[in-house]
Amino acid sequence: MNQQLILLPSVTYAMKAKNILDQHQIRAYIQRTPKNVSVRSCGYCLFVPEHTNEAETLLRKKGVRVLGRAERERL
Amino acid sequence: MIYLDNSATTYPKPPAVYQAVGRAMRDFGFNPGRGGYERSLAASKKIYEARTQMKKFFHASDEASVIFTSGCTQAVNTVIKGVLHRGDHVIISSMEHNSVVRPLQKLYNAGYCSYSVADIGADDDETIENFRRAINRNTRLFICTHASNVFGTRLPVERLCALAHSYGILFCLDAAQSAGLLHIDLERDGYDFVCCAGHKYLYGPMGTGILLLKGEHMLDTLIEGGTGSESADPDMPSYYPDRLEAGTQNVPGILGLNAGVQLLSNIGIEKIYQKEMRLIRGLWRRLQEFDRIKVYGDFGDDSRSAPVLSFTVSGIDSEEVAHVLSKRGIAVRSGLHCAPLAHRFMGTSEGGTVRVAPSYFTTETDINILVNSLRKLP
Repeated sequence: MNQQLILLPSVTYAMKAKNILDQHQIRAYIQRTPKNVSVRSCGYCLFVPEHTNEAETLLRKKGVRVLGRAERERL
Repeated sequence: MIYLDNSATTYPKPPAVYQAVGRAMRDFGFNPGRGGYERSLAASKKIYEARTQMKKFFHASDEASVIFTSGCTQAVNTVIKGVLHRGDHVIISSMEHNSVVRPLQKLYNAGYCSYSVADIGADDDETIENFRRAINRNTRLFICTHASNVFGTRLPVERLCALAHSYGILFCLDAAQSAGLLHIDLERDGYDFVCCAGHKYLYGPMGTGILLLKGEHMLDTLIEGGTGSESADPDMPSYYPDRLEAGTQNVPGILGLNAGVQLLSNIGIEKIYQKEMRLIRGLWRRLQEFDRIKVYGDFGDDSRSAPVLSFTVSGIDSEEVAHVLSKRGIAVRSGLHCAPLAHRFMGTSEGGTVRVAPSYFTTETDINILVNSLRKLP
């Protein structure tokens, strides 16, 4: 399973998460969360095409609330 | 017009603020935190940048602990109604504004909580002792103005915060008059809540304010509504800032406020404070030459005062003094300044005072014209 979406609780966290990943040269794009994702989310998530696991770990270490992961194909 | 009512709201705003508001209306007039299209995300990014700058400016712990409000009053109400439980007791200073007194009085009238007023002492030790004496087993919160909006009196808020914490009591700083003039450092000073007016000495537009949280307390909500997050849940989100920011945000206001704070960061608030204090000290000295004028407060000691000065003129009502000055093109504020508690404490409840509050844009010439006009009072 290629879960390239990192689900976040709000747009503020999405912006914060993107900033952190930008600082670590990990490409990330803010987008709406797919409707059929089971985690109750904000409507925003980060699409991280590469190094997604590393990105998630980094965000958690930086205190960002990560709600879960999802596949991009489900959009 | 010579505008000396900056404690009510600063005017003019820096040109960058007008430009930011105009640009926000034109280029970022899309609902932030709602849509997935590019322009909505661009608006969200601008709000986030503003949040980041506020975090840095006040040394807050996290962007999420910066809450944008409609003003300081909403911020204070959010704290009071979000923190207190039935039976709680609050201590406030004798210099507080109605934005603090009225929400507490409403809760008191409903039998929900009680509050005590601790008088400002002749020195900081006495003020601290007055607060300490007012503590009881139900005391949950201190609310204290950083500087009086009427008399410019500064309170020993860092010591009061330490006192509160030593008893397990929360501390809320009312920074309506001080944010942008006096250093506020959440990390260093440990305030639990800081309430700021955006449109005063942060030079933002009216209708803006900030509530800064230390982040450990889950406040109850003041209003509920859409946040763009967890929309399927009928309850408000449990995380900040969404929990306390229901409804569409004031994008032009917030981006204007951000421009104001950016300017303050560039100039340095110490420089701004010193400039305004120089003007107020000069005015204070000159007014002492007037037999008929009584100035309240001592502006000889910077650590005890902020650049707001109140005076009365013997034999003329304060409203009349302000009216005469207004006819000469000078805008000052008379009356009780929404702070009857402070006037009661200073013994000026009867006729109020005339208040002079400069801003960074006030000049010595402005103050000279005021003094000359006072010489010509009937």
